Amino acid sequence: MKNFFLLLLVFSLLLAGCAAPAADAPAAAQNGIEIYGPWARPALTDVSGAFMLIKNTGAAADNLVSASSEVAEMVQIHETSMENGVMSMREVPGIEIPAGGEAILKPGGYHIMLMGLKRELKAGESIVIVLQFQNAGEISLSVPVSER
Amino acid sequence: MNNRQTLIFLLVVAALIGALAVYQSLQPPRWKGSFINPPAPMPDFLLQSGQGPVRLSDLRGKKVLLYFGYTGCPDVCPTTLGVLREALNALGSQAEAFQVVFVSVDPGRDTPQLVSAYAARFSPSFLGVTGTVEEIAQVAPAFGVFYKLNPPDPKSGYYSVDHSASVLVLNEKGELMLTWPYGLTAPEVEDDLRALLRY
Repeated sequence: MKNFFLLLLVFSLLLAGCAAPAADAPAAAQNGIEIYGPWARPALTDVSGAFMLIKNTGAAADNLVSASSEVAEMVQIHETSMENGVMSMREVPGIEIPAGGEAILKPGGYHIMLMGLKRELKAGESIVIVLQFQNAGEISLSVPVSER
Repeated sequence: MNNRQTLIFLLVVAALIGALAVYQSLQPPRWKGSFINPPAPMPDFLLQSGQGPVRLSDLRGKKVLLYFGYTGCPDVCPTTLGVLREALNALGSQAEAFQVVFVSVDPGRDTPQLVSAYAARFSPSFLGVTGTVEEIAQVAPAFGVFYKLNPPDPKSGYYSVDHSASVLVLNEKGELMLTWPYGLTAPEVEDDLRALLRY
């Protein structure tokens, strides 16, 4: 019995060891830019937003300058801002990711805006979004559609 | 410790916990939103859902969680409705004391059918309504809600809508008693919902 528990302990440690790096691994990485935890909203209408964490491990600042996706007629980079309790959303020319820093795309802040969706986005599927960085170049990303 | 001592110890702990619970329930709630005292009378409205007309005053007897937005909103509106769903789910059957109503301020794009389907995607109990451009122009300001349609994007034709992002809580008489700013978490909203059950 004691051995059984010891075995169980060893197994759980092994399992934890396997799971931990997987959760931390970037969804995509190229030329010092790393993308973590991307997700897009399910969409009933023809717009949706995608969110993620972008890290820059390089020595120079980089910029996310544009994005595109096969599922949308047009993709823009938007920023949501709140002033006196009023929400507004604007297109921005890009998002800077400082050297050794990160940019967070999340509800209430920046998002990748998918417009003119060619089909409904359903929770559980994945879509491809291509991000264009000034220095790191083009990064193609598989983005799960999920209700967060 | 023998059994008797253990029993006494546990009884004392239970009594202390009980006393604390009673004390806390007698305290005025620490609202996460802005509590409005006395509650402010609000007008009625008659708008359309995909299933037919909805009159706000027909919902008297429930507390109404009223939110103005648009379905083309990828960011703040779904976040807010998702938080409401999560907080209400945590209440179980007590959630029936509340009715979520989502009003689209963008009737140009949002038909009653679309708004209802959009709201129902979050929870089948959520109502989604809108009206004519003129009706919305009348209803929104009457509830202190600001909105503005932005010029369409020259390439895609898409336009965003600036709008007040607070949730309005109306009591059983249709009076405004609480507002939640954008950005509260589901547990914070749940705390307020539980406090609202006692009002």
